[in-house]
Amino acid sequence: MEKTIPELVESFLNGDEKAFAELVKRYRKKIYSIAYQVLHNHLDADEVVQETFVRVYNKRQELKDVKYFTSFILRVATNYAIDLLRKRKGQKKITSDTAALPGYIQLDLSQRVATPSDNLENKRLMEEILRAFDELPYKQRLTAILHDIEGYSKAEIAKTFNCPEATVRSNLHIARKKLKKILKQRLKQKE
Amino acid sequence: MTCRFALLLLDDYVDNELAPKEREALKKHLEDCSSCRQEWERTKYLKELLKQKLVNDPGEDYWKEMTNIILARTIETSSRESVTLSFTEKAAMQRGAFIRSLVSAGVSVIILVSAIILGTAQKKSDPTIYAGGNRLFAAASLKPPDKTVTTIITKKEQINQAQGMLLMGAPTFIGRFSTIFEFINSGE
Ligand SMILES: [Zn+2]
Repeated sequence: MEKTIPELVESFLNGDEKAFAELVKRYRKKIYSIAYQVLHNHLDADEVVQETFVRVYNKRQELKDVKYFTSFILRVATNYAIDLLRKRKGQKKITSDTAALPGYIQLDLSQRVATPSDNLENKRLMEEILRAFDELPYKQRLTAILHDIEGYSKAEIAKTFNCPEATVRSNLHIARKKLKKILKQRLKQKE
Repeated sequence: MTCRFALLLLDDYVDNELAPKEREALKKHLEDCSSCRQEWERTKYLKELLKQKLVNDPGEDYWKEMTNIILARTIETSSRESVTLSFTEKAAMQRGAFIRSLVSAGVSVIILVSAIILGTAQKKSDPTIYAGGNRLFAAASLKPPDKTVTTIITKKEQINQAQGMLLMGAPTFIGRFSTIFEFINSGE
């Protein structure tokens, strides 16, 4: 039978290298996905994933309770992603660069979203939403990515950012409000 | 319920995290208030939109390679902090390192020798003048000459190449041999 995450973490903390390898397998895509959505390119996402696991390995003594492994790894990953984002921002203006967006937007959006049914329309809308994402402050952006896109709970996110759940709620509320504003303008244009 | 309060509860309503009492009250308000209902629709729609994965999977080959890199990096770290290893574990690890060093030292010697031989062979087939090529990557011109491109190397260039190989190889050699000596010493 497959081991659960807490079981794997327990083994990993007891020095089992195989358990660590299994944890890498279970979390690598999740971390990649978050990093990609923050940094918008494969190379940076790849760097975040590698550094995250190396740091988690080296800092494993800091993990007091196996229950909180997900928040622990998310904290390491989001901190690294934010650092990298700050670095990249100094190198070039990414917020105004819309050319970087369309490449990773999948065209099958309409298959899961009922309205509006038009593929191109959905794609454009998604582009605008993603651009708006980039304008949000880091914590709000990551909160929205972790909660609404990746599906982590508010409790997990609160543990990740070491803040009360109320802060997660308000960050999410502000982020959604800004994103909805764009949606509103879009839908108005269509009418 | 006021619109202001209703709008505050919308996020939790959409996330299905409201207490039953609040949920019912909000539901009632949404039935009666079209502007809040509109906001609710937008919130739902946004949440639906964001559920889409916007990331392309780089593929299984990538995942395998990346995992190997991570494991190589972390296991390397663990052997560096291996002060608490038992004597037999340490000996086993050293034996592994010894064999690896011996093999790679052998490979280095073979590369160096074949570089010199290849360079000399090239000189015999093409004894004319040097025409281009990147000096930084001297090793690249050691490949068998391409039939369509005439790579012409002078004697001086060959000496440069051999020197380059030696210079590049030196640190690795020192590394390899020091591990071997370390092993021999620790055995005493
Ligand atoms: Zn209302």
